[in-house]
Amino acid sequence: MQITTFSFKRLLIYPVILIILLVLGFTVTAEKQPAWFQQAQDEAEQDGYKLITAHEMKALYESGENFTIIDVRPEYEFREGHILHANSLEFDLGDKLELKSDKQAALIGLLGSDKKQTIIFYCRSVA
Amino acid sequence: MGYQNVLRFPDGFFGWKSFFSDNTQSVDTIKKLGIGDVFPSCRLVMLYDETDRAYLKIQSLQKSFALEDIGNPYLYIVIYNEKCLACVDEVQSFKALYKSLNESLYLSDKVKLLAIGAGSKKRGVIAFKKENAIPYPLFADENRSIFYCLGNPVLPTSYLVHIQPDGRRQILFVQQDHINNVEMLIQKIYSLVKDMELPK
Repeated sequence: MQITTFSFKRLLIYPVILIILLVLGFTVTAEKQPAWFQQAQDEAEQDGYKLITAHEMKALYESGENFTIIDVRPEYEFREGHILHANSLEFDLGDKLELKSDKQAALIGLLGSDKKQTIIFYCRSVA
Repeated sequence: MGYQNVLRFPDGFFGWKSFFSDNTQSVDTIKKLGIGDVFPSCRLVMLYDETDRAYLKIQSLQKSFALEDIGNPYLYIVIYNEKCLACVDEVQSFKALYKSLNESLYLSDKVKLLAIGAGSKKRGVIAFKKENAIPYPLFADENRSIFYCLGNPVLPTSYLVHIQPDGRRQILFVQQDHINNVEMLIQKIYSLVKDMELPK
């Protein structure tokens, strides 16, 4: 009888520990995201693309997988410093409304015909 | 355009640099002008003759003027571009700064705020001023000559410049990041101007 009670108590402790870990884990993850992240996430969902974190991108670099990375800042900023192997193609606010044919051609020229490749865009930062 | 795996890295270049500075590369490095350097000589063209001339206390009636023609010893010069999102976001801070400068008994007669659109055409400057109801003078640096002389700063960047009696334009302060607190910036400008005005 004593053994049964002991096992029952132990069984109760595991879910409690699990819940505490989940709550703590969620809190820590939530605190890691900067204030602008939710806005970036909303924009991504609205415009049909996904976000990539710095560590995911680092892993992608290390995996040796082929991908195209595009720096959309002005060329003079790109020349002063950019992420390794990035290509420069400046986009501004007007391009969000309408992508002109010359820029569209430049983008296609850069990306090529492989529609399944991974393409990463970045600017200065959304912060 | 049919590409299926499009990702955005929202931390951007500066986020990446803060995580992994070794995984960046540059093509060239140009010296950015900073504190103590001489602000480049330039001629600007009036877009709103009477109001700008009165605010900047320019005596000459010519359409263009040099910074040395401005009748105030200190200038707070903003370099921006109307297509740059950070510049658009920062307009509210500059408007608040302009208001605070005008309301300051000590600074209103000494420091004037003006903005120069790097790569902006005159009509772009006029439209930007109208759309954002900007009260301070805006000018166009169409061929980006001033911008290049400043060393291609990240936009927007602003400079507190002292026009010395001999016409030299010494940079006293450079603001590159987002203005978090306009009052603190005013205090900074106040203390720099006060120091310069002390008898040497």
